[in-house]
Amino acid sequence: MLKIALPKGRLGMKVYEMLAECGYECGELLEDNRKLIFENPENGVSYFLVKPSDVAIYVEHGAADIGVVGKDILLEQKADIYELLDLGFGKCRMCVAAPVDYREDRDRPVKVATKFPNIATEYYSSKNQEIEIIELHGSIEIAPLVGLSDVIVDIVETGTTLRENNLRVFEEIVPISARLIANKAASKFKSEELFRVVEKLKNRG
Amino acid sequence: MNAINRLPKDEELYLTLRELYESYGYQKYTMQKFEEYALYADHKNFLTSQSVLTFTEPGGKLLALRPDVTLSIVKNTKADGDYTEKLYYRENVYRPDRSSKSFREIGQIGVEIIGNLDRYESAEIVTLAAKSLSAVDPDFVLSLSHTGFMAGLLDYAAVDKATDRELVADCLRSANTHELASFLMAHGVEQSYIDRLSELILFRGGFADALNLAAKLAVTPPMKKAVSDLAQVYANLSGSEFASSLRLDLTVQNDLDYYYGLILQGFVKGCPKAVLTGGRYDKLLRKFNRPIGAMGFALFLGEILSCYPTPVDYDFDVLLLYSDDTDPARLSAKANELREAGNRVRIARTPPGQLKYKETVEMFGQGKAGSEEC
Repeated sequence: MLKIALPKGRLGMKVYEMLAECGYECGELLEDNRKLIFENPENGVSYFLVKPSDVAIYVEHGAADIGVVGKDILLEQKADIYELLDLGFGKCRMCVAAPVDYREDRDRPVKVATKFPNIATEYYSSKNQEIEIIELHGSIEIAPLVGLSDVIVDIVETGTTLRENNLRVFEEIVPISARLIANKAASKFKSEELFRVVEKLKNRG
Repeated sequence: MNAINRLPKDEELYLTLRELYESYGYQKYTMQKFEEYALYADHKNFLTSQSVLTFTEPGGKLLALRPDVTLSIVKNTKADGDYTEKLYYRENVYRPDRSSKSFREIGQIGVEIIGNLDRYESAEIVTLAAKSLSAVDPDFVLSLSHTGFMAGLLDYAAVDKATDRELVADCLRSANTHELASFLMAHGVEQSYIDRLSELILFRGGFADALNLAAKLAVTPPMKKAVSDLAQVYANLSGSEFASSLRLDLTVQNDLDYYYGLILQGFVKGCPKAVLTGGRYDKLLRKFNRPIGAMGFALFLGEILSCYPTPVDYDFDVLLLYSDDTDPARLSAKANELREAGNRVRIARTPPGQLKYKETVEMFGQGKAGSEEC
């Protein structure tokens, strides 16, 4: 049985639809219930629905064999997994954003508000620039507007939220999209069934 | 079930592996609990984590609970050009736990060979690694790679910047062929080469077939040497009972500042993570000004123990209940009789509510006939 961790929400449903088209349907998952684990022994898969930021943890620890997770989570958590496919959706960008009139004060470290402290630290380290990280967990865009930070490092999709709050993208760090990941041991001991899923997803129309 | 059958997996493994390593002429290595912190500060990149548990001893010296065993072995080795040390150890190391953000004690069983190494010693280490994994679970995979392959690939693609080299290493480590392909294409590597490289990274077949693929990709001297070294090791092992469990796996990576040559990573069916890592680390010996070779591996007992828990149906077998009027001599005799029959016996006045046991024998009264229940 191949165990697949899906992120709860829109992304997870989109991935499920793709997998169902490839022959890995599990009708129960679409029913309105509170179940978290869904099995279809006939086509050899079981699905878990988990918090998006937990998918890589489930896969790394072998509770799931494969999963779908955003590249932002992978870069932030650095889970020890295989990243086998860029699924090509959920596209956005990890960016540095700030108020439209922001000018950097070079006499002190930049204050960076973010829910991605590792990504932010690595990015500014690559530029040899000292920063102070303020780790937040939501509504990051508010931080520079109320003086909590100078800039933010956050995901940008359309940019609408930034524009409506008088913020703009200053630098793009890395493009983000949904990735298919696999447990390293499962890739060796369940390789046939695991890579069959990968190939079907890669070759889908 | 007797005590031997109930041994935790790590203790059972140690008994088996100790016999295995000694049958190959390896000597047990024991060491002090603490090491000078300077040893780890000077070789931080050799460690899996930069965090080390330190304390100051009464004399003022800064010591550490060791995060690694190999560094201590290398520091104290008696090996030279004429004398090769073959050692095995069972020790605890102390490393930060990534998820809980605190330090953990991690048991390791390891093997090191230090001195003049040639193709036989490489094959011997790989053999011992395979047999060690087989002792954990007969369903195992031993992945082999070679540092020369990635070093050669970086040269071939003219990747100079440290951040770019780290990106390539990350892509290989995570079998991320799509990002690696984009990067290499941007560095002018031709599509056909990238396609063959991606095929090798994701290859699931046997070692010999993977070696053929690798040979076609070996376009620089380090890569050719890597393929040659891997072929030599495989030639020594292709007839062995574990040949089908060997894989050529480019996702196996190690720090190029210390490791040069063959590198290993071992997996068993019951564990989601690698339970064995190792390789050839001559470069570490150079940092100690020792012009000799070194190769070894370590098994992670914590990971193995959590994946192969000791089956515990009962906390003990027989509860022997007594009261104030129980004859102590009869109580003791009954307990001994039960123990000699292989039971685990607990003597108590009242049943221990939280524990599970198979049966109860009451020894109330003065030992009159009929007062014992079995």
